[in-house]
Amino acid sequence: MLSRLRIKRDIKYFVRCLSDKPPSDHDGKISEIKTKDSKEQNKSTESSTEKIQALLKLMMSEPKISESEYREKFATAPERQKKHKPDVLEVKMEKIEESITKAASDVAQAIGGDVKQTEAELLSKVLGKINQTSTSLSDLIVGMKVDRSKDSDETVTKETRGQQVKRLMKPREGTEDTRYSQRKEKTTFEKKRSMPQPISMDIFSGEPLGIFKTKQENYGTKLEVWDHLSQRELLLATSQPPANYFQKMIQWTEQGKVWKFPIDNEQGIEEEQNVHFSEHIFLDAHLEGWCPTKGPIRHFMELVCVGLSKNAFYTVKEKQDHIMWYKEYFESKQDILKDIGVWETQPTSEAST
Amino acid sequence: MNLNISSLSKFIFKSQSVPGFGFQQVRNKWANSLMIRDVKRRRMSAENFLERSRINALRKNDVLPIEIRELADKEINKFEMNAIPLRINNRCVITSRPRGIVKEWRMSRIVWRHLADYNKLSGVQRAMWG
Repeated sequence: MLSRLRIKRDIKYFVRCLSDKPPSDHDGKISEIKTKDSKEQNKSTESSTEKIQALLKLMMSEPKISESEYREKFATAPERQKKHKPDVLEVKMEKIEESITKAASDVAQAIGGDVKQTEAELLSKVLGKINQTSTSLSDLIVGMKVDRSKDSDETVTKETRGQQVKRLMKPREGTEDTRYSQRKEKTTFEKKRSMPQPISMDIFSGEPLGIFKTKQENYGTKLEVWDHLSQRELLLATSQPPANYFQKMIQWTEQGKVWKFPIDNEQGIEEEQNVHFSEHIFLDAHLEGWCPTKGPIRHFMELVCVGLSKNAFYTVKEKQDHIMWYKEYFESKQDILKDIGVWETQPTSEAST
Repeated sequence: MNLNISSLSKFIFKSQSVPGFGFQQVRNKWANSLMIRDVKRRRMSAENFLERSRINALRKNDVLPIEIRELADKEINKFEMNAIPLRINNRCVITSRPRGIVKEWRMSRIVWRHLADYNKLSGVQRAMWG
């Protein structure tokens, strides 16, 4: 079954991509696809394998559109004509000039007499004023007409896209039963009527372009905190508090608050079994390289090593850290130790007495 | 204004340290300030335990030359007083009683007896022989 569905989808895809005809020729394609489907339904599964092979052959053969063409047409978004925003001042100037000329002609006609001369005089006077150096806002506004139309459009068309979507997604029928909610619906509906109805689109239908593949490295974003919190929410939702004391004890045992049976003294420190006992006991190796071979410091460090070898509770790393701490301490006090004559840093001169 | 007075009164009601106005009971994890001090000392000594014990080892031996031991003496005084483990006091965990502690249960004898009578301590039974 699944192979058949895949074939249908692939056929549509190939037909769309590889055909030279523009997509306006819709009916022909539908009939094509329908005949193909009917053929499939009539034949047995052998025909489907033949189809698969035919498709594979198609895939292997050279495509009708070249790679670059395909990339141009389908992979990148089509260029849209950008709206040219003219300069604000230019627009103002145009407005002013238009309104001035209009006003001048109106006034001239209203006055009567020599229309053209009056018009010319008015224009010269007004334009002369504008061509002066002072271009304050009041000067500019003098020539402009005042818009006295009522503020009806503003309240209606200012609905943002988010609000639009919310309005569309809200379930409308059957949810509001109370009178208050019905009243609210009425008032909103009255407001709705004056607004233009948006086109409802289904964003999940349609073929993907195939630009992004799920197996690629940078596919999608990783939200670590979100994942952690959703896991936590799942746990909280599914886990019930313990119904009896047995369940409480089970919880505590899993958390490690209660000993497990049979009692194992080394519960919690299982990694220490992999460490051989010689690493715990023979610690003189760590004294090599820095510790003088004779003298009180050597004596002291050997005592330290004996003590550590008898320590059953420290890990090997902790013992090594202990010895290294002493090494750093003595190396920081080098000058004082040298004055005493206890610290010899040359390892070769051991035999010197 | 009226608003100021009412907002002030809200603040007074909520604060716990003002006498006569606090209705909220002060509830912390620890029984009293002595217990809090003990907790602080335990934490500090746990933090500084390693370093301090190593320097102490330099002091408490007759093998090393005297100069090093004197140096170690000076160094150990640089730690805070609360880092000294001898300052830890084994108080009762529930009542913070400093004396009469049953060590294994970390409780004062009174609390211990109370719980034992109510059968909350495992393996503890009234003594009887003869």
